[in-house]
Amino acid sequence: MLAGPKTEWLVVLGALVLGAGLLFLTRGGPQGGGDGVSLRITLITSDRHDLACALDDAVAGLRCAYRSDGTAVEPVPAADQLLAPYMTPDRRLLLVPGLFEQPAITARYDQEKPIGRPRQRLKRFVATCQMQLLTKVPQAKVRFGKRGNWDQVADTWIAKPTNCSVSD
Amino acid sequence: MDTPASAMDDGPRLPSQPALAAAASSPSPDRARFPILRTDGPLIVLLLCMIATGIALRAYHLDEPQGLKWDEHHYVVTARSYLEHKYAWNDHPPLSKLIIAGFMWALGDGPLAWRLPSFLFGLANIGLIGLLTAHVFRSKRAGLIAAAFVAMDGFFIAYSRTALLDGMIVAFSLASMLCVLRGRGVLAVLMAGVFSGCALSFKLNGAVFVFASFLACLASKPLRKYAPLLVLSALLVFYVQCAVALVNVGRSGSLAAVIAENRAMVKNHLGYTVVHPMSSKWYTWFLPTRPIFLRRDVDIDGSVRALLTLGNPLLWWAAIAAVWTTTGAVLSGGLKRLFREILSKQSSQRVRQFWLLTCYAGPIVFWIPALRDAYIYHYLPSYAFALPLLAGLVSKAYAAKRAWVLAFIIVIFEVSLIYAPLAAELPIAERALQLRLLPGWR
Repeated sequence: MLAGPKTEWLVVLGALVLGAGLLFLTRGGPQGGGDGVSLRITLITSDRHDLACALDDAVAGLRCAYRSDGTAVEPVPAADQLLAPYMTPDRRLLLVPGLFEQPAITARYDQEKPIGRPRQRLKRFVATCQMQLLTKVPQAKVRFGKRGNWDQVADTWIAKPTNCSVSD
Repeated sequence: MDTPASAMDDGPRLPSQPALAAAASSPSPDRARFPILRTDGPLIVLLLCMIATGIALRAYHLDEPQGLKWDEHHYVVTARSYLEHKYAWNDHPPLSKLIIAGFMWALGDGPLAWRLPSFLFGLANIGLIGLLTAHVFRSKRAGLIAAAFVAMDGFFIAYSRTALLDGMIVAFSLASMLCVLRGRGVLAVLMAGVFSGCALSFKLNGAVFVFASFLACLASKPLRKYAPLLVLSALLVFYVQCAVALVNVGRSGSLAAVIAENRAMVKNHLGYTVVHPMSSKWYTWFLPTRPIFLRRDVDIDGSVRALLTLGNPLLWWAAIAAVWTTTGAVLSGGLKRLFREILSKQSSQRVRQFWLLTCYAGPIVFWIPALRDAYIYHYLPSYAFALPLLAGLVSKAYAAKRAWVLAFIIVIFEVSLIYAPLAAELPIAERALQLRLLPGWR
């Protein structure tokens, strides 16, 4: 089978290369490229104004409203490029740009404008969108109310929405 | 094979008097022969790569997830209480939580501090199993093979990555047996008592190792007279850690208080009537039929981060075969002869293997009459004593069938890497995960 140490060296070297291949290439690719994944986001209409994230750099032209030290980004990013944190019904967090600019969600917002209404009176609904997963940011800060505290979050997806529909 | 196959082998042999005299005036033959890179380089490099890979898999994103997984909350929440000097109900003796609390005190209350003790004990297990195997088989090659097997095995990796106790119990049980089998004086006995006492102070099933160490000590002619000290030091450790935990929360640390605390704990264990869906009977551990997902998180992109209490299946089954093979070999001369050897002055390899078998069987036997439910991870200490037996056999076979043995170790390495994502929580697609699992494991 093996003829001597020289062959053994080659076999061991081959085994190490094969091992690297098994570890890195047999785990299957992630979903979310191309057409993306269908994701559900839980919302109330006041989220349009209340939710914010903090991140120092732009990602694929998308920005949070704040830097990590809490100062506001100037100039204010366009609404369709402004990232904000949202939760799926099973409480997975992602940063999404311009979610409320999606026609179906804009329409839902117009039906129940939050101005002058307490948060707890607003009806929760679910937006189902096709999300293109762009990248994960290792660290970011998020808050879910204008006067809320910043929470540090790790490994959070940035996802671009299309084709959203709304249900209660 | 044209190379000297026995370059690293120093298998069982009884040296003659002239040989002993010659050895006394020259360097140890084993030291002179190992490692020789020229002849055994490929094997050594492979084994060292396995150990390095195993360490990397243990360390990879140790602080993830940020939340608690499986039973971590039992221990981390109690450790938190200790830091606040508040009493917390203990499902197990407090030593593990005191250690975790120490790391949380030093590094802050976060996932790295929770899991760092398990990681460090996991590293210690690699070294301890290597040392124990090298001692039992009088072969550094066998020790290195055993260390590589443990390093790459998913069961051990999983327990190096979670704030759970069983990997730490393994470390103390190995250290205790190593002291007894290698030791020649009172210090070794005291150390064995302290280590087995620590195993007992993690979970009460650690009592198995106090008992096994005591028996091995009693059987050893030079250590026999100190054997009661082993039990006393183990009990002292057990008492001290209980008392420290009680005093820390403002309660009495008296002997009566410690006994009352432990009596309540035992009563609680005996009162368990609920059978957890992930529990398993001891006889199912040999396949195994029910490994446990300590974590199975699906990310938004569909990838899974899983942590499964499943070793490398090939290593698992080979280790069981090694247990049976060794049992046959140990008993082959008859019980009478074995008993005589156990009690003789000079410890033979057969006797040292007998003690490994005892430590393998002990934790299983503990769960046979047990009234409460058992889990696959109760097999971890047994597995830790089965792998040295396998490594010893593999090392011996290397002398005769070098190429085949190298191929076997390579296959072990590759299979370990196929299963590594399930032990090191590497992202893996659900389909790729399913392909790695037998139907009952999913």
